[in-house]
Amino acid sequence: MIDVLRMLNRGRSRPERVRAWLVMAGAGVATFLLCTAVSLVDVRDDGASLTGLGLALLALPVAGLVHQANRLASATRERRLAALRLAGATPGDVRRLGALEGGGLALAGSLAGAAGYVLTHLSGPLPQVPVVLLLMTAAGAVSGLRAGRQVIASPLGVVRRARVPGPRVRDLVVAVSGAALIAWGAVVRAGFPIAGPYGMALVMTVGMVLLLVGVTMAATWLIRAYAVRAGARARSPEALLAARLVEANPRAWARALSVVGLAVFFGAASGAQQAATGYWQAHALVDVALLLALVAAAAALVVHQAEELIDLRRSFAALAAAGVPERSLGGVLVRQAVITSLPVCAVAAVSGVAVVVASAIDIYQVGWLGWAAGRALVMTGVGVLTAVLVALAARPLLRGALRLETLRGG
Amino acid sequence: MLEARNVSKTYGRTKALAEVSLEIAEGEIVAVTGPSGAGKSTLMHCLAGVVRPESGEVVLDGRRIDTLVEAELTALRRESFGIVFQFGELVPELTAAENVALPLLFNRRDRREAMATAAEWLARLNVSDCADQRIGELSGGQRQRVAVARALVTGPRVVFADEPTGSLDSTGGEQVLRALLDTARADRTAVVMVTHDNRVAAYADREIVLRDGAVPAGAPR
Ligand SMILES: Nc1ncnc2c1ncn2[C@@H]1O[C@H](COP(=O)(O)OP(=O)(O)OP(=O)(O)O)[C@@H](O)[C@H]1O
Ligand SMILES: [Mg+2]
Repeated sequence: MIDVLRMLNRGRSRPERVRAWLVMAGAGVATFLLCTAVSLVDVRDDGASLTGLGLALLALPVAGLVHQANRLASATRERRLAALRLAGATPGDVRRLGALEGGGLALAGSLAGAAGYVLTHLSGPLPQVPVVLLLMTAAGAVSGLRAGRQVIASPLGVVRRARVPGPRVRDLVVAVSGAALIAWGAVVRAGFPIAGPYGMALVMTVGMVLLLVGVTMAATWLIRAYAVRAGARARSPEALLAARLVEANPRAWARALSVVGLAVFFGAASGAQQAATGYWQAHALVDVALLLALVAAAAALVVHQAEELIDLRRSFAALAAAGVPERSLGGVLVRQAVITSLPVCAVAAVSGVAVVVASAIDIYQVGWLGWAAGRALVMTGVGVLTAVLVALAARPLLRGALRLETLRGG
Repeated sequence: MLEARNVSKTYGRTKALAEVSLEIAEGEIVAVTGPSGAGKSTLMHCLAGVVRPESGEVVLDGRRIDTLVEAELTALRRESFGIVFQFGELVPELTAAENVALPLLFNRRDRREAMATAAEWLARLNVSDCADQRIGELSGGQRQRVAVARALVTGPRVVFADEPTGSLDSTGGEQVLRALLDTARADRTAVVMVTHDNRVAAYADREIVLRDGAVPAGAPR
């Protein structure tokens, strides 16, 4: 197995090397952030705990980047993996290869991240380091395992677009249990039964991951439903193409946008709470963390955009050759960003406000709603703007995909 | 109507086209043949305004097109030319009918009207049944028919086809080709098709043989 992996690695192309670096860098940064976040969890100091939460929130999109990069692998390695399958490798072999590679890269990256943390925190708490290392490596392996799915399904390569299931109760259960874990950790704090503050940090992290997964699954069908409507109403070819492309692959969009959605959710919730309590300083910290989360989320969106353009390059290059201007195809990307981010951000903002208002329904005053709504609107706008800016920034990638060379050879 | 005058194109050190001249008349069906690497695709791309030649001129109805600015050239390709690729290169996320309607939509025609026209073209190419299916669900032959419909739907002056049946078996390929040529003849649309296959070339009004980027002296042209 290792031999095959070596053989595959020897034939690595430049995009694959870039991807390997992305995986390692992402794992490294995520490890560093998580270790720092845990070290900051201080039960007596609200400010430090909030910063820790913010850093943990930040680590999630970075870890998401690792997964995106692993998925990018399946696009660039597809042919060689498919050749392996045709040469008789079983689906299990291909899956193991992916896991081995994803886990190895994640381990290498998080070792570097952990080293960075230890060097900068020699006097700080260290017990969380091996746990985070283990978690990141396992996550890398799982992500590598799942990234090869398409080739596994068919040795002849890609049949994209498995049917996306409709809304399921499971999604809701996952999201709600994640939220419950976070709330539990936040309420019991230092009194946490096992391992005190570290146990709490772990529970809250697990809760956050569950919440993110649940929200992503819910966002998948929200995005698809909105895209179906947008497709039916489309007047321009740009809008029609954008809607149909999103409709065919809503899951990738949901994944790429989940952190944007969470940032909008927390932003709107924090705004609604601010209106009631005016607890400015800690909220300012949350805002900084949210801003950083949005930046990291934008990076995940860029990777998603690149991955999508790899998929689309042949049909887009053919359209360009047939006389469709680059400007129109760029417009398709921007419309996709709007079609996907608008419903996600709007729902996230409304639920953010709703959660706060519902939890304080007896004291919440109608007068505060104006501020809360304004803040929710701003957060929605910021979320959509992030997605649109990424789409605009992808112009050079699009230009590269439209070159005629794309259509030469297989 | 469409003319190449001493067109040359080099890639690195490869001379893909060397001083090729030819003229295609209104509604004429021309097959471009020759061994692999002879420059057939390059010639087609130069004629279709997808690639700019280094020297020489490409002229459509007396107007040079190789010197147009990119925006004008793009518009010209959209309005006057249709292209069929070897593997169709349709948009897999759209239905067959939507794929055919797409060029009309990019010409800013109304959606309802564009879909109606697309349905007519699918019927002309005998693939009405596929109208609402996604491309992934179609057979290779059905895909190529849809691709042909997409190239013809705007009523272009010239349709370019680079080995349009290269991915199909011989009977399937022959049927698609018949469909393309019959509709083109009926509408007096000129066709430039690149092919390896001598039998395919036999359907054409004229055959141009390329060898090492040039039309050898004495060869038919
Ligand atoms: N984009 C490019 N970059 C580099 N070389 C190219 C490019 N396009 C064509 N060539 C070279 O130009 C020559 C002619 O290529 P072309 O694709 O026109 O041949 P062809 O006759 O269509 O061959 P085939 O029948 O195999 O499709 C070849 O030697 C090819 O390698
Ligand atoms: Mg060719």
